[in-house]
Amino acid sequence: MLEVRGLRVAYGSVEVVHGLDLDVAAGESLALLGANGAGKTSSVEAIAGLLPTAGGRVNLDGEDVTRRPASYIVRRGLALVPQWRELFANFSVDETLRAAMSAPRGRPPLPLESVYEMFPGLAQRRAQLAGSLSGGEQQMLAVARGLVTNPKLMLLDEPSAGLSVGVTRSLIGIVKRIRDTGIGILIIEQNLEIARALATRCIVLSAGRIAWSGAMDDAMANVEIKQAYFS
Amino acid sequence: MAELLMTIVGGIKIGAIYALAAIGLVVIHKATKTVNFAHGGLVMLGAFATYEMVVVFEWPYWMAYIAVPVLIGALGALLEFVVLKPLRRADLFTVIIGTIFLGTALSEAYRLAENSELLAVPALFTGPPLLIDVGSDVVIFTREQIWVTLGALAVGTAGVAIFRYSSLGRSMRAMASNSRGAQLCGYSVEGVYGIAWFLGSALAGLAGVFAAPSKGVSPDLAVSIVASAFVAAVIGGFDSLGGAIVGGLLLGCVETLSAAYVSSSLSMAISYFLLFCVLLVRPEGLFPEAKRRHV
Repeated sequence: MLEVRGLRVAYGSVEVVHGLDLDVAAGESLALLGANGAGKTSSVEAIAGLLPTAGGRVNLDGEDVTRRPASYIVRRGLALVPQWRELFANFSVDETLRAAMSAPRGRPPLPLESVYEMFPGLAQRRAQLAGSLSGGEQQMLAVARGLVTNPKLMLLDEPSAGLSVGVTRSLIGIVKRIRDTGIGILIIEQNLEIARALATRCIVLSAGRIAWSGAMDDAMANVEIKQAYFS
Repeated sequence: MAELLMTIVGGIKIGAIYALAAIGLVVIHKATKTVNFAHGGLVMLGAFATYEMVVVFEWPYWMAYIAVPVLIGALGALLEFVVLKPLRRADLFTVIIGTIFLGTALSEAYRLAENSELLAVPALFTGPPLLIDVGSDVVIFTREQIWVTLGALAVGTAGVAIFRYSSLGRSMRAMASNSRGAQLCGYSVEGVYGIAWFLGSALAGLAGVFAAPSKGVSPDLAVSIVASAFVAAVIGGFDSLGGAIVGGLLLGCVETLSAAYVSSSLSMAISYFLLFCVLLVRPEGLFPEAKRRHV
């Protein structure tokens, strides 16, 4: 479904991702791990079209979407839940989801009620402005906004950052449900336990290069990896 | 009493045109964060296109009300794509200079073509005026006054409704609120900016159609309308569409009342004094938008 080959990302003359390769199949979840500044967010933003690529290729469902704008890639079935959520502060919960539903795309959006069924907390706050929600509710809304577009693949950039243990647990349950519907998941996490709860495979990035890749359980058992990148 | 009422009605008529122009200005600013100093040029071109259609080609007047906004809207979207898109990552000052250049280019192109001549456009309705008894006085309303006032306010209100309640308007508000978030919903920056410029410019063109019979067509129209539209928009809060309507009507009334009871040469100065007073008391305008939080 998602095939990335030799992805390079640069800010001006400074290259921060030096040739990333990864694959995510339908219903599979892959974790992109690494310390701060490893190039994780730059990689997913380049894959989603929010950042220009300096080289390499991004294929989504067999179509080359490299250098396509984010709006085009979203319409082809990719949803990014960004680290900073990027919500519309002066939109209500309902209007936020309707905005995502009414954007032009090749496939129909999910019914609003089915999304509310997955996010009962949001259903109770339909009329509340996004800017006035708690951090956890805003994160749920960001995930719901991506889900309502009926994606084939979701990229989640540190979805648990700054959330309480209870909210994080709910979020893990929701992402698992999303994955079980056949949607591919690429998740960035700094918390290894959360990554293990959600992903079966992982790639460890260090200074923009792949330092290690393999099964999530092997990464957890690898003391060297844990000490080098997550201590 | 009757004179006062007729003056106020005249003020509401011209104020409705200012409001229409101001709504176009606010729509473009809300959706794209661009302060469009070329807006007056688009109003002037709308009036000029009306002259060409109605006087030169002798088309039915109603066609101008349909064709001019479409034409000026398309021109606005084209100007955004050709001139402003390359400036999208530039700083605010560069973009402002870009729109001032556009406005000047439109006015000067007209000046070259028509030698600054003031072109007269007939009114749509020329029948006998309506007389209404108010106590012992009689108030006279021309049909043109009623048409322009109701027509401009109806179109302006429709523009506000599109922006607030339609999915098209939702896409523009989403882009204005958070451009990256809107792209992640599937909205393209080019598409939304093009729609916003089309809608805002179409409203400017329509303001030109409504203004043409009373103001005539000349390069000065661009300056006078854009100045009044800016004052109306700023009084209203600049990001408030309802505020633009109130600001336009208020400005129109102050202009005509001061022209009638103080001095016609001082009416603009009094309008700017009104703006000064409003900004002194409420720097954010009469109807400021709630402050945004980045989430």
